[in-house]
Amino acid sequence: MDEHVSQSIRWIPSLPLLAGALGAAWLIFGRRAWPRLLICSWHIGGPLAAFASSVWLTWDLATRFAPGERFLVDELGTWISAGDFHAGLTLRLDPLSAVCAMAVSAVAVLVHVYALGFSRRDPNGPDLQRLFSVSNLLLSAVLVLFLVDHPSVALLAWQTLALGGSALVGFRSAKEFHTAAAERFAVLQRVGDLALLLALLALFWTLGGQASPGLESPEIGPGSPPPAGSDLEAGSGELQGPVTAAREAAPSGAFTLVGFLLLASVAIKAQQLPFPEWRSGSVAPVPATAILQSLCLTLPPVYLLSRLSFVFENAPLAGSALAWCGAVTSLTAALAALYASDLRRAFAYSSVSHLGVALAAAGLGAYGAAVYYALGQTLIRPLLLLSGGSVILGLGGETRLDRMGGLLKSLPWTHVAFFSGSVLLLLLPLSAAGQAWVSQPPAGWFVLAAVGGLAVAALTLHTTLLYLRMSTGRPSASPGARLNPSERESSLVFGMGGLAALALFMLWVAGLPDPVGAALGVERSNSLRHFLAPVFGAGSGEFDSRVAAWAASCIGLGFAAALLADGQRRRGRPSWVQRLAPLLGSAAKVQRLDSVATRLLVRPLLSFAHAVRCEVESGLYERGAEAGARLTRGLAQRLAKLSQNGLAQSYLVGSLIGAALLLVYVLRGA
Amino acid sequence: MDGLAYLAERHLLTSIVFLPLAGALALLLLEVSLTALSSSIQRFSALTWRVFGLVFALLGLALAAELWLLFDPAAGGLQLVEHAAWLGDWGVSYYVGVDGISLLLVMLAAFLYPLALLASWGEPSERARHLVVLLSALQTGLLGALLSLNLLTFFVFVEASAVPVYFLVGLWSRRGSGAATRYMRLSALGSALLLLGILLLGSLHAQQFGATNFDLFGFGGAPGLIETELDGAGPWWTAQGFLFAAFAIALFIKAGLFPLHFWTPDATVESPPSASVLLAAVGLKLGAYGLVRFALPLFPLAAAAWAPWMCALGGLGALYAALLAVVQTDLERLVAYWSLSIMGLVCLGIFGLNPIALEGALLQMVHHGLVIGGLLLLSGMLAQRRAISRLGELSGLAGSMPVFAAIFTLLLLSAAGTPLLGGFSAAWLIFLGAYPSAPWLAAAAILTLGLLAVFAFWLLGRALFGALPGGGGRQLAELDLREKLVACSVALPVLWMGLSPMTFLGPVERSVGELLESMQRRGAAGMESGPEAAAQPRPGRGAGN
Repeated sequence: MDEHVSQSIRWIPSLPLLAGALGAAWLIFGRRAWPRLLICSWHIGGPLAAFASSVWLTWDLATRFAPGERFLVDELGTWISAGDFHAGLTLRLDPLSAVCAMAVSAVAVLVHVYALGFSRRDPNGPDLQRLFSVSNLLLSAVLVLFLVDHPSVALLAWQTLALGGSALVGFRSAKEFHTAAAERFAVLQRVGDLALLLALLALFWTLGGQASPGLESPEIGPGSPPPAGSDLEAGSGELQGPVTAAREAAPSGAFTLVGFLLLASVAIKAQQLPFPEWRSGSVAPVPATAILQSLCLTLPPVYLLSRLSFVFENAPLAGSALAWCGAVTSLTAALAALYASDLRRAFAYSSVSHLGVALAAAGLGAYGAAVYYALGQTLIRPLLLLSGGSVILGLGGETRLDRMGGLLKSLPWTHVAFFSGSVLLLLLPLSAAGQAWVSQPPAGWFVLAAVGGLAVAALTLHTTLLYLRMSTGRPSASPGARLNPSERESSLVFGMGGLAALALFMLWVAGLPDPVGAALGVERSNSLRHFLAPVFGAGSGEFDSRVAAWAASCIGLGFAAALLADGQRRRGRPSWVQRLAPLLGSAAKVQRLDSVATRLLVRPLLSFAHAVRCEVESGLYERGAEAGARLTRGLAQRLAKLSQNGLAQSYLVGSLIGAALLLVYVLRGA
Repeated sequence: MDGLAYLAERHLLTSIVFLPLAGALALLLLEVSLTALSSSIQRFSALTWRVFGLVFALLGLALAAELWLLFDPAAGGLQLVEHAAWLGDWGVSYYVGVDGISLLLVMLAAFLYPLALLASWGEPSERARHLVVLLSALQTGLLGALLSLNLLTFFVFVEASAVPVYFLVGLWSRRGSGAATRYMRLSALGSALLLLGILLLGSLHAQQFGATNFDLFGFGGAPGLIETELDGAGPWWTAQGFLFAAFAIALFIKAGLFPLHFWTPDATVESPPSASVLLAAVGLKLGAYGLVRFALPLFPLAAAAWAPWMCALGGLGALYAALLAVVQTDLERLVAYWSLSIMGLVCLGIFGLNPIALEGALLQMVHHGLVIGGLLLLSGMLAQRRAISRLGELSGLAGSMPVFAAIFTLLLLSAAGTPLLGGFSAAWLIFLGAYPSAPWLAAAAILTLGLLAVFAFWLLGRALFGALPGGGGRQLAELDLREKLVACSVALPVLWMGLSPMTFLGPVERSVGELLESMQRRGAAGMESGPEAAAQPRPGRGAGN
């Protein structure tokens, strides 16, 4: 396969990086804040240029090359090289990375536009330049993750995402920083980063160590249509050449170990069980949360899984664990979302739950469906968050759900955005299910399907109830007070509208299942799926009617249950969902796992460290040093006594004179 | 000026080594002469000493920059060699030269010295003269040791650097904890062992070859110690286990490596910040550098046989020091233990005995120097504002000191191995290199970095963004221009090292290959002819490529 070189790929991550880095440097060293116009043009221009570049290159990719040859390469040099290890800084654009790059850069642009209006209406709103700088740096990191070729560089980007995410979680306002939340998030993410680091180390030495004298690193993923010398075959994630031999020769447990380490890293990034750091998705201002959810937490984990899919293909146990992890988290977080009384928390839980569905699909081997689902979430989640933010702004900062109602009539544009987001979210499982082609379902798949189905039903129930609660009735917050006219900010409306249009375009036109598209007479109804199909190998483009039917049933069940519950609420009676509060509350309490970890791990570790400091470092060493000093003193005194003896003194003086004479002789001889 | 140009052209390395001390001594001599000539002339002011000290330091930096430009990474081997017989019959010579391994550390020392002097401008001016003279002596000792290719001159320079440290720690001690005495005792013990090893090696060499030789590499046709045709049954070859042990213990003490580290935290905390920078950032490297430069190539079989134990000491030492770091309550002491932890990683990399790990260790040495030096400088700046450095009393610094906060964050995160910063590049190579031979120790090292990162986040959260109970926390003045210059000068290379580590690894690659090739060749020769040899050296995959 020939290499198609394009030096334009580098601009995709570089432009937001330039915008973010200069903005951050000015924040630190500059004395005066930038004018608003400069902030807008600079910080929106960066991601906009990245979006434009990615669109142009994607168009180029789609129109110039045959499906099997759609990849472009841009070699920037070497990042690090030592001995036989060589990590090149090569960017590679294939259909998957192109679509992902377009999605995240578009979301960044629209959220930035929204944030302009949001900050103007919110008296305690975020410092725009700080928010945009962090956001652009984060965007740059995620774009690098999507585009790089070498796992080491991907690791860099992955860890940078965690840092940027921590900064966003801690974002509170211009002057404040939510330290505790950021710290919790950062610590957990760091653990995940180290798990990925270990996974890659093990992977390098499992594959490269046995494959050839060189340390040949596997290129990332099934989707990288690799040029000559690359280790992965396009389309299927199959390893080829020497690495295939290495895979066969590798110890059977090695891939399982790598798989579980990878699972831990991805689960932490995606906030899946048993690492439920769900609160971090609800503490920052709405634009910061939208960036965090869409750029950092949603697409990167699924993308990385799909690129390293060969690990799970060789470690079915780890694959099953991933599927179960996703399914159980999905159900638990959906129940917690039903229990939540705060709009932002409800969004945060629901987001984790949806991501669980995507990870479960990846665990089953349906990477196409997983990526499609995550892509959908990347567009829909910020749409819902932004429209929710508009509502919160309208209510003067009120976030309690029981104070909301009828608001969407007062905020028509927000209503449209929220409605679009809710509908798209309801249909997303159905749309993705059509791609959930699984070649070999694991043992016990029906139990897994049942758990996943329940999760989808609970999510449908939650989305529907949330929409109905917010759109109907009357608001009870600040009775008599006028709503803050947030919709007068055109940039705020434009941000929501743009996202709604984008999500609609992707899901309804480009991702419509074949039968539905054919029935509606929509041409190119499934172009996105067909564009991505070569990346995911055989079968990924096929429509699976059984999975789609199962998803439709679950969605229908959830929808009916929501109508029933809403009817009971309107009649003034406690709904059946409210009666399940103890069960739902238990699901929400899962988040306390971190305090268990603190009790079990952190406190004993700190106690141990204190003991080491007192007993070993101070005690043992001090005693040793004192003993050494006593010994030295004793010897010195003994020598002093000896030297006071006349004989010893004479001997000493004689020796010194002799040594001096010898030295003179030696020096003269030299 | 012609003389200076001649020196820079023909004796560049000698100029680099002796310029700091020569400058300080010249100024001292001038001061003494002038005050002796006329009683109306007073001693030079603190500012004069500082300015002249800085000027000579910057001249040294300029010479080092010239060295960087003149050095040809592709040529390999020793470059810019200078040799002069000293005690010729006894094998002692003034022999300096540079290769990729020493180049990086010389650049580090030359880079940090003016920054340390500049940072010392904020300290009380009573002892400015003493500080400049002692720092210049320390710098000369460090540079001389880094460039020496003769074992005995290496020893002399190492000892020459220990004396000013003793006075710096003793005179500036704030707590009177006897740190200077402890340092001197241990340093003397290490020196005695090192001298014993060197003399025994020389004696055995003379016994075997009929002539004493302490030159590591040959010069003028005479073979150096590591180029001598070996007889595997020869006396010094068979005694290499003992010799290696003597060298290793001595150099572990010099490097402050676990478990012989316990002089370093006190010495770092008690000396003035400007001196502790040179001591922790460059002084500790002498030990690690000695291991790479002398212990590995001279005793390849012993090094290979002891490597697993050394790796264990490095990996576990890193974890041990990290555990101690997280329970410190004093910022400077925290940095001192953090430094020990990173040095543990360096040890792990050195004894990984393959090019990846060794290059990682060398990169980590430079990174350690920059990041620990920077943190000590910053903690000194903070101490000048608050006169305290207790962690519990630091809060909300990001609001009042944004530049300080940004650079402190950058350095601390780099020290914790955060990506895009120098610490990650170095640690990644060490992990990669150490993993095949010691996977559990590599995992322990990763755990160490995790622990440090968690603590870094905790510290940053409280010190920079947090508020003390009751809204405490004083408003502190932001760094002034001089301090910003110092802080940014340290931070920028750390950032650059993360983004483009090849700038630092490029000159090293060939030298490391040659070192491992030499070990492999000599080890194989010793194995063939010496049945006593215990183990095959492990030059690792791709050694000598």
